[in-house]
Amino acid sequence: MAPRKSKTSRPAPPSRTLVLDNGAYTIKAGYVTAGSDDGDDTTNSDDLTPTLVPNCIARDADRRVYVGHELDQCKDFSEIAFRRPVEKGFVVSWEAQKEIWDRQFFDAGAPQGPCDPSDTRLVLAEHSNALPVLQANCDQMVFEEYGFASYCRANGPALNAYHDVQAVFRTPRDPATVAQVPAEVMLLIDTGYSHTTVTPLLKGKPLHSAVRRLDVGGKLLTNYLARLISLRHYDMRNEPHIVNEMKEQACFVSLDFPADLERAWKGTRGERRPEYLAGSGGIAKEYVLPDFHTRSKGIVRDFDPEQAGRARKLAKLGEATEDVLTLRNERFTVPELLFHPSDIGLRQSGIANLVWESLLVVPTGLWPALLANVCVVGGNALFEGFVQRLQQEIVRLVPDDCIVRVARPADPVTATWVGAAKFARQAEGVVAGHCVTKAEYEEYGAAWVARRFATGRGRLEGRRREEEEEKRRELSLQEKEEKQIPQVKLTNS
Amino acid sequence: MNNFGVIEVAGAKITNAPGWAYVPDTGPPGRHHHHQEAGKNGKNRKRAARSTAGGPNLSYADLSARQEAKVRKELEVLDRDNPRDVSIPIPAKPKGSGGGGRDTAKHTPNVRKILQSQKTFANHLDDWLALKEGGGTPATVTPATGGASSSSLEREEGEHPTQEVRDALTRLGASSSSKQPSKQEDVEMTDAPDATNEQAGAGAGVGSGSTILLPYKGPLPAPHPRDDDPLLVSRVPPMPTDEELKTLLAAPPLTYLEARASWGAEDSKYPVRMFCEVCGYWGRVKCIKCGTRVCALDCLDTHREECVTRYGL
Repeated sequence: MAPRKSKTSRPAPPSRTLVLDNGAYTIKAGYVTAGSDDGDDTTNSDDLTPTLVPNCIARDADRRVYVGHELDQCKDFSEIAFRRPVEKGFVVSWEAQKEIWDRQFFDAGAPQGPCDPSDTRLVLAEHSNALPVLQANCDQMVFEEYGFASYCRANGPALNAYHDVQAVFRTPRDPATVAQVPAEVMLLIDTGYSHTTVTPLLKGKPLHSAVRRLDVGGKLLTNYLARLISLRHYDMRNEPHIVNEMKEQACFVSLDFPADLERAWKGTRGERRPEYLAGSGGIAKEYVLPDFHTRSKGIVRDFDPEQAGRARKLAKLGEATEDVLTLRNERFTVPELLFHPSDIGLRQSGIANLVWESLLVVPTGLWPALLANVCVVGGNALFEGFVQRLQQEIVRLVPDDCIVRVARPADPVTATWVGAAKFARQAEGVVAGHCVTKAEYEEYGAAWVARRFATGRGRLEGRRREEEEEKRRELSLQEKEEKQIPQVKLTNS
Repeated sequence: MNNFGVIEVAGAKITNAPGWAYVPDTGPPGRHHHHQEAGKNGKNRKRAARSTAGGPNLSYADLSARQEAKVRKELEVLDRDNPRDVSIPIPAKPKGSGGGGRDTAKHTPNVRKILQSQKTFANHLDDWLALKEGGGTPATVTPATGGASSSSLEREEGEHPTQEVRDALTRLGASSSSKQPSKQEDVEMTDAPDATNEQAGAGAGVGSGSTILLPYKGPLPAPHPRDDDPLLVSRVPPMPTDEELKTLLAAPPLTYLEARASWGAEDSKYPVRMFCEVCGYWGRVKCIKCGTRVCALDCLDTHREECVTRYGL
């Protein structure tokens, strides 16, 4: 009996929480304190800004290696090669990931001072549908290598429910109303570097059976743009960094794809359409490539036919001072892959159909609420026109009666982190209910921890019930023995 | 020419000359048709199988094995982090930051195993699939050193509810799609956006009905004289019951491959779009040599230069 009591008496809660959204492209990280949320959302939402750390080990043309945040020191990104610990959204290479985490958080020279894991809670956002092996690896690294005092491996998309979602949608309401956290119903679309997922959320919990994933993400788009440019202009396949910047600055989602493609058409043989020569009504843009001496970042500028002609002459003479690409239909055919993956032969449906597929699993009664609260997070949401196009496509698919609202938070890249931070800032008792402590890990083992996180970020009651069940299972043999003892006593008396 | 009265009949044997052939572009042939065809000329059985495995709605000629392999290879290239194979070893720690007191000797066996693993995501996925196929029950976690052991008995106990929940979900989906009018009529009204004053009374009664989704209690829009007009009333589907919601929330996560978006009926409604590989405009014309789509003669010329170097004249 004595050891059971010691389980319930918990040690003092860790003093601060490390909130981590370990993305494939960037790590979003920051420290918060549990119980610091006073409910007033307007005053303290500003301090919720994470540090963005490139989640990679990079090697430049001079074979110098940069780990994580050291990439800021890199001046010359030409021919840079990356090693990324996260594949398809999940940490695969812990060897590399550990090095990046160590340098960012735990070493003496860490930018925000070294973190003491034994007095820190870790809230780690993960993607849905992970492979059990990778989840187990993650748990083991967190507890056995780092020894965090308390740990919560939370579903990343679901953490977005801790935003003030109605403010994102600009729902007209009484300014005095307190935002409901977590949001009651919402449909979250997370379109990141590795893939795009659709997750319906109910009371801040994912409806697992309706989660769908499209294997198109920022990486694929960057590589596709690199291929197109290599076919049409310069060979840029070895320049992932430059192409990625180009994608971020110049690409947009077309609201009328066939019309835009028509406008960007050069014309038949021998004749150039006047519209094409004039820049296709703003579609053609010039991209000045960085040379890493005078220019460290590429510049997008409007296409100017006269200047383009002059530049071509200069280039012929070999006197050009800058390398210029003219981007035309590449600007919108690249993000178009999110809506039509079949354009490159990938046999998956686009985002809008993904939403539809997900809705088919959910009871019809929830459709109006889900469709009125479609929230897009992740880096691809930053494409100009993405939100409008998505709304347009969803409206075409769903019943007319449903109002469709699509919105993105102010910063879709850090949205999951901010949601996680808001989650971690709740009262200590609430957060602790979702977490597993190191003592519990040592007591019950990795399998138990995995099951705890798999059964959902259970409320306290759920946790207690589970613990009781666990105890019952463990002690079933003991109890039998205990029962026998009084019987013996009875016979004696 | 005298050939001794022998009249040559069109041969049954078809030679597939590389590069071109007159093939009616009639879309993908059906399964039965395929069996006949495969039986007729056994040589092409592999190719026929591969083209049925290919997706719907691509026309017959679009799905030659060569092109399919090309698409697959291109997708693999697009999925890579680096265009070439690079191996970047972990650099040594700079002296200034000095290790932070973490020495490598302290790793537990589990951690050492994880750190030394050179597996890629594809390896892990294959492992997991093999485990699922072979072992019957996918082990949720690799056994760990932690105190409690995960007995296989427990794991199986965990499996059965999973199946039940999934069954329940399919039943649920069927019942909600059939839209049967049921006793939840009162619940249905709670979330109606155009709720009128009478809702206030109903709300109190309904509050006990659903504990997961609470009725709306905020301010209502101003009543309009034509609120009761049957033409203007919006139809709201019945809200799911608490049991339905609970089953939905309790559903276990799908596996990695189950969650992948499929190529559904909705997608095959329209033919797949084809683009010019040279300029990106609609791919209206196909190179007769290699089947690459181009937009017009201009781009075809550009393409032909490349095509000749690759496949010869």
